[in-house]
Amino acid sequence: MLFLSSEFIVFFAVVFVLYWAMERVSATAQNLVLLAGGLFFYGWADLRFLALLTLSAATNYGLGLAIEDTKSEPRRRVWFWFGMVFNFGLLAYFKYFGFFYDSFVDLLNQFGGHSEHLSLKIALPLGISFFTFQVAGYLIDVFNGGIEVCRKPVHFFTYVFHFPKLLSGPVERAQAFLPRLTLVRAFDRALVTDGARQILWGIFAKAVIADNLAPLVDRVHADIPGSGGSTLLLAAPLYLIQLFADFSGYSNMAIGTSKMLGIPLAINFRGPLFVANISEFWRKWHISLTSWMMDYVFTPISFLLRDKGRVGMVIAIFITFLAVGIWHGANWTFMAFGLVQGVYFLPLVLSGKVNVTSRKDRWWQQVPAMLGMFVLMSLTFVLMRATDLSAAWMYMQGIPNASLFETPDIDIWTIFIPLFVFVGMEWYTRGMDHALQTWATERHWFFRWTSYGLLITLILLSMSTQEAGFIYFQF
Amino acid sequence: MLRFLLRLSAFFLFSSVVYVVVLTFLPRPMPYRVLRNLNVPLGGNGHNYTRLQEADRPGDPEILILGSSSAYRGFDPRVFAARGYRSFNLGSSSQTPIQSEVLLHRYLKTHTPRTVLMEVAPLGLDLSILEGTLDLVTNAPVDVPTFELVVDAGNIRAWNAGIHALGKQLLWGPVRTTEMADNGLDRYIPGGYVERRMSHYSPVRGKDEPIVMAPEQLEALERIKATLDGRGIQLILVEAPVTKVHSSTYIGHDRYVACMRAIAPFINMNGVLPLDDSLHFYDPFHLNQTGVEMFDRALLDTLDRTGQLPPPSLRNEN
Amino acid sequence: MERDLIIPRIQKTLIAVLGHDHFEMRDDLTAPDVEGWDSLTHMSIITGLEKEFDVRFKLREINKLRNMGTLIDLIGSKFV
Repeated sequence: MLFLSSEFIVFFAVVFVLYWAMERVSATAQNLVLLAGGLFFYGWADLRFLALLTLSAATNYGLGLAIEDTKSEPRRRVWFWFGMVFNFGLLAYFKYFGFFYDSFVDLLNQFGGHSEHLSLKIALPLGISFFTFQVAGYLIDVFNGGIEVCRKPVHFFTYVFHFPKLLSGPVERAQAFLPRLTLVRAFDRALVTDGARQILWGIFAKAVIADNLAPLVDRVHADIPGSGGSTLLLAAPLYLIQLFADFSGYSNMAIGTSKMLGIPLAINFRGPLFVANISEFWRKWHISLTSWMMDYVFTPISFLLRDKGRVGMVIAIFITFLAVGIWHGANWTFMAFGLVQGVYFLPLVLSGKVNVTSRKDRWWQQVPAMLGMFVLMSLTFVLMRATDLSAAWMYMQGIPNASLFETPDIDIWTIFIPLFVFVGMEWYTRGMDHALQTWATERHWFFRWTSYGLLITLILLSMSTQEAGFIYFQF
Repeated sequence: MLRFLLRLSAFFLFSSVVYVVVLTFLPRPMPYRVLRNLNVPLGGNGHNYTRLQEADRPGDPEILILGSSSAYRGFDPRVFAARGYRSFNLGSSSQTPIQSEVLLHRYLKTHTPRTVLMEVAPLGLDLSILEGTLDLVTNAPVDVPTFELVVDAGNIRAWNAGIHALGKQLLWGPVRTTEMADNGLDRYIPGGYVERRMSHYSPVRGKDEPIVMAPEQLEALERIKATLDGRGIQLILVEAPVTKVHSSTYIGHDRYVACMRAIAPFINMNGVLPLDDSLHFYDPFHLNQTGVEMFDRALLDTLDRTGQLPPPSLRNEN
Repeated sequence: MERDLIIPRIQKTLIAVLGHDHFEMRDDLTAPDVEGWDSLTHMSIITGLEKEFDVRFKLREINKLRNMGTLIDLIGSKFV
């Protein structure tokens, strides 16, 4: 059930009405509606794995209690590490086993072996990366005393199975989510309307921008040797914008949907196309994942290595971004992506600039740096799109070439107007939670509604008419 | 919550108005595809505007031709006239029986043909009715049956083109444009025919394709048959020639023939003439002028032989 | 150690690491309120404070920090 489907609209309408009807009953009644909705939603998407996720959620609920209630420190540790192995083992089995097996086989064959690749692909439970990181974060917090253990199973399951974030994030922290379940959520028109606006912007980003850019970018990546330098150079930023539109569009729909149920979720993007340095990029791109990685990977490692000075910092950054890369999936391109990010941080760390506040320049003084970062990240994200490392390498080699001065072979005109609106609005509202957050909110209703109506019209006139999945479902 | 839902409904109503107003005032035709879902093939491919204008004028052709581009690029009224028949070709791009029905009803209001030749392409009976609908809704006055086609297409592009045309028609009257009779590539021949500048085809075989016959299309054919029967007009279904490389990709041709025969007299002209894929075609589906003339003469011969044609009107005048 | 003695020394460390003093030393001050105080600089600040006060923190203590007030209390607790 994709967000952009008639099934989802019907499903959400039912949940919405039932949920707010329970406002007069109790918080528990509201939670039960959410939980039932979540189970139905996941069962619809992937019935085979509903049992697996339920079992895993139950295990984590029990582990949380065990860690909290065990007095002896060594036993607490046992429970905690059992939880880590359980969660990441499950993730590794489904997501990485085939990759490691095949890589191992490749290695053997290098030395004259004759083993076969694993022909049986293991089916990936939808959203398992997001699911795992949320429950693992919860256990780490319980273990470290960063959060009070959740004793109410309904609360815990509602958190895990909250359908807006279930398949593709944001990676929502338990300490932000669980407290919202204890009291009745009162219908807050401002919040619900803001959610609806956020969904509208998400639909525009996804259905118009991402889905229209996808075939253009796909065509180039399908034939890298046959594409000229200028085509490759143009396709790179188009992919960055596609990925941003796809994933931020998805996030905006997820967060907006949740807001309409009175539960704001973590922000996931905050104008990452317009940043002046690498650390700013990662503070604004896929924020919920990066902040998870910062808190649960970077912080402990850099804490352990804090006496090593800058070397410790560098090691911690490399490990963190390697983890970010690997999180995306089992492919050398993702690991290379992570390593490259680590390299980009080197100048900042070595010059000690990480600690210095971002400059207080006027925005136009930052434009050169922003443009530079945009080009750099565009070229780097080729790694995310390329099928393998040699394809990415071929892509890079294809750019500095005589064909760099030819007209790019990408038909951009059908998408030009919406793209202009999208990038323009993202720039104009780059500090906001989403582009329509404060758009015309203090203007006359006629002006406001007309502008939303124009956006809807633009969507209807430009949206891609092929069905398309979300890129981040696969991660 | 109730108030919110009411406001939301009001907003969607308001947005619909914005949508209709914007579409009404967008220029026609739009500059090169800047809005990908607003395809307005005004006077575009196939001279449909000119043809529909001519169809509305009085005249007394005894043969009416319906069908897709294989019809308006394959049935030359000059060849028919040489045999003494007045004919009019009401084919249009990607026309399927669902659209033929709409055009036929409009035509029968002012004309009384004796015979309808309907070109039915094996691959033109599925439910891809978008292209033909866009062509009609753009180049003809929008009436209730045309708008029903838009609804049936169930596609955002059909809606956009439909509202666009309807809005303009309500404000400024039916569509008006000037279509060049000869655009260098295609030349409009009075009687609804379009002649392609002479060229040849280098055959390439495509992928195998199953013939899909949608029940909705077959029902439209049945209704057309019933309408014509009711008026004493004879309906003859024709499978027009296509290249061998193309017709060899058909899967389920026998079933198609049986289906057509069950509806009305059916003549298969494909594969019965000594046509060469390269010499007599300019693309996989369309005969060039040499091919067209061979095909039309052979078709008239066949009709003559089987006594399926009315007595020619022009021959008497000679 | 008294809170009044701790606060200026924390402030001094923060200014040294962050390079500015655009913040108020309130008890409810949190990292996001202070420009430049993010996950990356957090560890430099912690190391800086360890040197300044000559103490060692545990990871769990750091994880429990919620705002400036809890930080002051944590440092205070090291001198009890």
